[in-house]
Amino acid sequence: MFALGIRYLNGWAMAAADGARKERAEWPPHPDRVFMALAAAWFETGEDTDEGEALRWLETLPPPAIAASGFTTRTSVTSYVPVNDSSVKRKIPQSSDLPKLKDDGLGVLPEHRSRQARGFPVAIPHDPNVYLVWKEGEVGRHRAGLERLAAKMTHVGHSASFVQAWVTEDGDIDHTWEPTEGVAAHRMRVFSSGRLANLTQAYNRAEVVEHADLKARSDALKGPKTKRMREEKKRLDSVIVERFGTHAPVSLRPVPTRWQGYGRPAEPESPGPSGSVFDPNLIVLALGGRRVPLPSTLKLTQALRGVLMDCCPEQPPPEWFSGHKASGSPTTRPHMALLPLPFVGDRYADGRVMGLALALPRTLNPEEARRCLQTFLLSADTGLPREHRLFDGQWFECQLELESRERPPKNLDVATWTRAARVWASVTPVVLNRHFKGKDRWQQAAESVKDACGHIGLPRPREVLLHPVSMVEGVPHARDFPQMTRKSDGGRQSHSHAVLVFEEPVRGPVTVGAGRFRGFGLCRPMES
Amino acid sequence: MRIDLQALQDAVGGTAAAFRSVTDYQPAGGPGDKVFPPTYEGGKYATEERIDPDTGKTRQCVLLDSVQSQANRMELALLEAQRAGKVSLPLLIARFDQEDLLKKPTVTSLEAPHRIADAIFRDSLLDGVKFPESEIGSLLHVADIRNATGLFGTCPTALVFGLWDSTGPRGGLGAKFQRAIVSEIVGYDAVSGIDTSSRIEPLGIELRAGPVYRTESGDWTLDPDKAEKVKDKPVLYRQGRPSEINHGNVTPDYAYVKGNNRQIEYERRIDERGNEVRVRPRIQGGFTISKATQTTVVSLSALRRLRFPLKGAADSKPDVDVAARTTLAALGLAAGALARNDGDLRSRCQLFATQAPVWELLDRPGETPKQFECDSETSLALLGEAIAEARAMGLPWEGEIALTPSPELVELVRRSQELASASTGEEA
Repeated sequence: MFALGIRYLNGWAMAAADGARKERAEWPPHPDRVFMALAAAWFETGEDTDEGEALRWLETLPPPAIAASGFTTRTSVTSYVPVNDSSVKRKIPQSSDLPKLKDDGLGVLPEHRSRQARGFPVAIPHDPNVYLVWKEGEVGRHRAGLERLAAKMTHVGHSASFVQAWVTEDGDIDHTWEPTEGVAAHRMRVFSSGRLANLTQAYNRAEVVEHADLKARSDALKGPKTKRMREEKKRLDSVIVERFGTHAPVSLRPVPTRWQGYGRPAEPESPGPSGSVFDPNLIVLALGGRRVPLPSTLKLTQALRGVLMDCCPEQPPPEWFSGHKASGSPTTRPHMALLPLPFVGDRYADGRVMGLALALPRTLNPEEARRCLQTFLLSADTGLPREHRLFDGQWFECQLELESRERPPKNLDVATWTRAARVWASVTPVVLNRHFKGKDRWQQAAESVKDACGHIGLPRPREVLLHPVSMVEGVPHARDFPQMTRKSDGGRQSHSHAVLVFEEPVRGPVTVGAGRFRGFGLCRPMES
Repeated sequence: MRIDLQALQDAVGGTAAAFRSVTDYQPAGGPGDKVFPPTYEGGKYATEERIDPDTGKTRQCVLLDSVQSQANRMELALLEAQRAGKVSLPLLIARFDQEDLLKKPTVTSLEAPHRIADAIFRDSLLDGVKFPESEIGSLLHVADIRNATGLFGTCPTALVFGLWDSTGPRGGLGAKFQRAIVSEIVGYDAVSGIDTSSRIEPLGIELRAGPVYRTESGDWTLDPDKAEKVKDKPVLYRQGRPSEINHGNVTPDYAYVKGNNRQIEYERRIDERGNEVRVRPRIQGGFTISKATQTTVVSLSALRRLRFPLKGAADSKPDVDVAARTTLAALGLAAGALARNDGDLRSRCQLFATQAPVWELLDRPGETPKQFECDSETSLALLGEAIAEARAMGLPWEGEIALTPSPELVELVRRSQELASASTGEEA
């Protein structure tokens, strides 16, 4: 195990997460950015052989885990920076208008120099120390070279973002981000074999400088000169054409080549309370725009389903994604459920939908989940969350984006919906799978709900209470929710709010009943 | 302990990453007085939240002086020290001292926005030759990290504050030196305040005294016959109010931030219905802070990248490199120390240091850094010693290099000065 430690000397990091726009600050520093800082140190200090070997060895390692604290950002403001390409015209036309004078060359003076808008995004980490940790690697004979290179690193990001870097082999660094193959909350640019050669080639410094110097010498000989000078110019021009052809060589800025998903380290599987057939790591999407009331859940999840289907790279989408087998008939295995996350459980709660969650089946291969969902969640070029528009034409229009805040609101926090509890109360009504008749129809209905818990892998509850009003504050009355219609004959299915009381605490997400994959029957753990 | 040349040479020649100085300030009007940070487009202040490492609590902070602004102040402080004779730095000066100019400004390499690579020097002449083609000017075309000797002798501040000559023959790959000093002032526990604006007209001119008309020559008059006529109707001077010619009362009110159309700007947020609502009007009212902190870092690793070969040699000698880097480090420390003497940042933002400046030498992470005292006198003396040592090693160190602005530029300046003196009250 070894790690590259970086300390931000100013207490902040100035680096842009969104490329040229420079409005969002990047934190933690992506591994590719750190590699480029090391490469810059190597290029600018004589390209020592040992250090170069250490860099090429570093390239071959897998993406590192990252130990970095949380951060805050500075308000994004626009600074105006004086330009340097003003010049004085050779002939000054007769004018006494100040703007014309500035164009003609007065703009060269500092007080009249024009300015260009620039952004300098700053992230202020809670702890200025960051570590890139390779748990499996041994630095071995490359330690000396890598250490020397790290000591030469001056900045990561903007040149004002001073750092001090070092190499350590002390084993006890708790990392906060690790590479994951599943659906990732965060994507970072990483380096891989060949990056150093790729950077050298793209920068192409030697050729560009040689061409520029030859051209400058040739241009200096323009105009009426002696015969010897004209011959010299001809010679230079022919050398230029011979070496470079008719086009000048270009120097390209580095482009991101590899992205890696990063997630929080997995907590060890505690042999604790049993859970449902759904993975408790819900994928939370935050809703923005006009307020959407909870009764429009079905329409919301339907619109979301449409967007998901469109964004799935595999067409037709797999069974766990769409809920249908290849033949078109509904699948019997558990599949992805779309759940509404409302603002409930509080004195001022109004039941508006704050976000949506995707609950994936526990048995799903994380690699496959990532493959199908990554393009929906994160943008391909910047790695930042992608914004989607959900609209129904009639009932709502809102924006949807992956929730990536450090401290999300309580109702968008996964723990609120999945923590272990004995008592669970519905926030959307539980749909009963058939009508019950007779004097004891409510008892029959309660029994059917107990069976429904079994369908999603939960133990049978001790007690189920059905009531048209939910126990959770802010949830609308059951009659305010539209009834689901049965696909087979179009008949309407009745529903009711419920309270489930289990013998032992169970972990969520708990969503029961016929509408459980579409948002009906979602339950919230109550304080016991 | 006080810093001396030996300690500085050891630091530069060793493994330490940087010198850092963190100084606390209070407003000159005493703790609890209001300070006015720089305002950005739209009347915004650059606010941020920081977490206190000891208590874990969030503190509201505001930027009182940015990195670029501090760099400008440091350069001006060095220029003042030069003019007072306390230091002797190589300096390019473009003098506008021609006979027919009303004012005779000068622009030095410490004032020009892009230092020695600035457009103003590009368009000036050195001994009759265009500056980029002169001996000193052409140093820029070949200057790079491995060969910084020429720049050291003609503009050492470019090696400390950074330089990029993107308009030379190599275009974007021209001489590029990163900065070695970063300084910033942040105010802590910032609580926003309210300011007011008003005016009492000393001459008692009221709105009814108008309307004011515009004459053909752009002046104002009250006589409609003397006014400029469009379709036989006299043209009003803007809106015709006496306030357009800077007379009349201004009703006392809060100092609202106003947009282009004189509408008040509001802080906005999205409410739960998804509508954008106004929260409160933006008032440029400054902040009350518990303290301001200035953090200055002089990066020694950045200086260690520079090489100084002498007399056209291919390689540089290590002791010459150390002498040059020590001079640059001393220049950085002097700039930081001088900037701490003047806490007058802008109108109603004067700060007063509450501690003597102390510089920490950041060496191995985890170890307690060594501390040095270095006020402005010590730093200037140190700089003088370092320069003497560098010159003894054979490094160049020019004096003041006088440039003549091109005749076309002088003509433009002359005309703009005529315009400025001829116009009377044209501004709003």
